Amino acid sequence: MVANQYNSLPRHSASNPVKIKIKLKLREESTEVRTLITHPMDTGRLKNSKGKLIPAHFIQEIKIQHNEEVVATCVIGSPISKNPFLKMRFKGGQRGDIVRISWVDNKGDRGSKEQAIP
Amino acid sequence: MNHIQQRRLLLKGLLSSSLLGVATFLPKLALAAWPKSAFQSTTAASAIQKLEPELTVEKSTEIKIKAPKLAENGSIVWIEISTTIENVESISILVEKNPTPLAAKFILSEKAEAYIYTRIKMRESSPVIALVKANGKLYSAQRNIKVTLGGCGG
Repeated sequence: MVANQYNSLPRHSASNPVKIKIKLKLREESTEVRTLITHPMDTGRLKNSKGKLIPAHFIQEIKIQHNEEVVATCVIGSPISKNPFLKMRFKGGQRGDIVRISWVDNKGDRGSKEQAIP
Repeated sequence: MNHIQQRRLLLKGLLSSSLLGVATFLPKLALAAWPKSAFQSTTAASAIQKLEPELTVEKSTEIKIKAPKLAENGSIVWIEISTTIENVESISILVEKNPTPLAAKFILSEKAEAYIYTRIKMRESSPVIALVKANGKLYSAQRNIKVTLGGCGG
């Protein structure tokens, strides 16, 4: 359990897994990365049906890597919409290159996914 | 905090707390880079000041913000920011009238284009500020977005 804290394997519950969707598109001058991560992005200000505050629970960082090289680090807060969606572009991508998306939230949960440029 | 103190704290934590205690302690170490004070600032000006305490903001016409003029649902408002300024280091988004205006800071490498698109929450109609850091300077542009139904809770 303790060792699990240090690796980057996802450790969210099986009943509510966080999913990462990635769409990559090779454009003329760049590669477009589109990603959606299923996450509640709770601000900590909203109350549930019983009038109790739902604690803040949101992604704090989304990293986008192209063949291990970080091309963007998105430092985000709870004002980003539920199920965060991002689009960015980077130069130098080629077919078959690996793009990796990884995230960490304010509770220390994390996950990542890799996909090859089609 | 130096390394030895940090190590001692970690060891103490491991020894004295339950597994749950460790679990709540570790994320704080892992996420030292998250600029908490900027994200907790309640005005856009103070958030910018916390993000870049040594820089002053210049208005720029080279930053383009695309967003709906009228957003029906404040919990999902798309926004696209691009700029022709060169050597962009980061692009940040701030919603002036949100309880905490700073929404995101995108740190871009040299390979990344000066372009981002995302979806933000807006409590009410508000100016949205795009803040671009490039060449050691801060540039900003803003645009009003009207919201019919606020969505800061969701």
